[in-house]
Amino acid sequence: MGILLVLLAIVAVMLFMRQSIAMVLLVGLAYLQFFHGDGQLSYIAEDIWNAIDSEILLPIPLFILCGGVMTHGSVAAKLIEIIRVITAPLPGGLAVAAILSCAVFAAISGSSPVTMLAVGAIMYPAMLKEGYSQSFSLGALTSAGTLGIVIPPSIPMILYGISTETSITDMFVAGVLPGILLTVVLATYALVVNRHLIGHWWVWADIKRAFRQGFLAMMMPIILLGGIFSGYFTATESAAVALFYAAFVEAFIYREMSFADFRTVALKTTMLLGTLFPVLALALGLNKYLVAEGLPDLLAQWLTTHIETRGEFLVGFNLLLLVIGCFMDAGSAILILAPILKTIGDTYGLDPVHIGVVMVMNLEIGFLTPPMGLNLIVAMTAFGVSFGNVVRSVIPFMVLIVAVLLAVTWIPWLSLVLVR
Amino acid sequence: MKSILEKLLKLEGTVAAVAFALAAAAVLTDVIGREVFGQGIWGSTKFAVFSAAVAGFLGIGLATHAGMQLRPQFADGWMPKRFEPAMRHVAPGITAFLYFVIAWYAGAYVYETYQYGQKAPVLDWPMWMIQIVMPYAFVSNGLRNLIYAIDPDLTPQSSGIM
Repeated sequence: MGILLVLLAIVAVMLFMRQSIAMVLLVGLAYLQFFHGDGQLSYIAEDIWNAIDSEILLPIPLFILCGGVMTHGSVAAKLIEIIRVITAPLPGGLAVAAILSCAVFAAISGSSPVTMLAVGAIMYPAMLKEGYSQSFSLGALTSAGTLGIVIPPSIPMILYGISTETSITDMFVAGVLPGILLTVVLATYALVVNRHLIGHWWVWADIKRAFRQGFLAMMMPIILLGGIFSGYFTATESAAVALFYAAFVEAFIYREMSFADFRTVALKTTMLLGTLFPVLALALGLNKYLVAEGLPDLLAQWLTTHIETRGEFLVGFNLLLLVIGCFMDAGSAILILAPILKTIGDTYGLDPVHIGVVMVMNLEIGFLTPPMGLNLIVAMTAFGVSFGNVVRSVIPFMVLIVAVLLAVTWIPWLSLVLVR
Repeated sequence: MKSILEKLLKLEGTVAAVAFALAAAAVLTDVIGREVFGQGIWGSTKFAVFSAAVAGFLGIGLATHAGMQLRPQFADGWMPKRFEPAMRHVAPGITAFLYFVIAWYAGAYVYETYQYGQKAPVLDWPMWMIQIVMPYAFVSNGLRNLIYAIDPDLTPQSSGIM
């Protein structure tokens, strides 16, 4: 108990002194190693190296790089155009297209704000021009952007797999149905709200043009996910093949990206890795220490004496993660909490893959909740609107996402049927 | 001091971009080798891991330069307003100190692997040659934050993570 209080005090002081999550973890780990471990701080450096020197991390940079190439180039625009012409006859067709575009782009990007930006940059002005309300357009794009971390490939799912030693492919497969369910629910809502905006019948020439121009872009999610789901490629190999394909198509067929563009994408990816890697390495080091000390088991024992049923645990689990999601980014939250929560989930007989999907969905909502909701912040900057406006715009969508979360939480079949 | 930051960015950015390209190329050639020639490229995965590690460690500095380090900001308001100017020096000063401390221990760890003559599995390269990027990255970040502590106007605006 004393250790926990000291750790909480360290966190509070470090946040008060405006330190990053990596620095908070570093000092916490140093305290544990020095006062309660072997007293050797060089073990921290060893833990950091061991965490980074791991094959299992390889898909992360490759997926980020792949998403970067496609966002920077014209794949996103071409995919969106195909979906736009297909959904044209629907009332509120453009809104449905926006949601579906986010879902499709999520299947190649793995990041929520990237998905929102890639689709939003094209769809937001188009929706306003077509008479969709600003609040709806903002809410739809900001919320549907969060599909990026639920629909595979998903960086948080990879992180969950790494930190809990759960199969990343299983996590990806498990995310498919919840992702589709979320997409259908959001698209249906878009259809209902915008039913007064009448669409127009398919124009054959438009469809032909969109498919002709976007055929190669359309192959992207097929290569990426088809390779993984068929078992033909590992996640790493699939990411590398997709990256090569995207780079080849953008550079030599669409001719939308120059060498300088590729360098910019590589730099941005490196920056993203630079935010993720120290947190990842230190969180894994911290978890290794906690597991060695038996803390997750102790916590699980304590919880099982106080929380008797699986249902009660799941309520607490969701509430905890919803609150955590308000203050912490999805990656850090998963790296720090997943091993502990998975161990506790085991004692209630919950499948680790199911726990992982529910965890990622909870943290998906964290992208939409202030004060740290990343999609809110990025939308505010990208679309030039006030923070309050973005927050209000996502409320109806958030209610729907929570409803789907509850369904996925209490019906494990939704996440496990394709895995088992 | 601004020029030091710019030079660091250019150097680390270039090396990281090359390391990335090498990591992706290594995995891809392994896949091509396996699919086309029936045999993967020996050691390519380990090479890709090392390349990604180099890019990742250098990325820490690039992320710092871009104001992308993950930092919960809800506690920022806890400090009375009158201490705000001082905090602009103190916060990066503490970060710099912590980076220099971890750089010291990282250096000690790499020196240990050098002394033991530890080799990288599969590739059989001396481990310290790759691991050296770890203390370097921490020193580079310590230096960056020290510069921000001395001249807070050079501190990048927090831009969040994409």
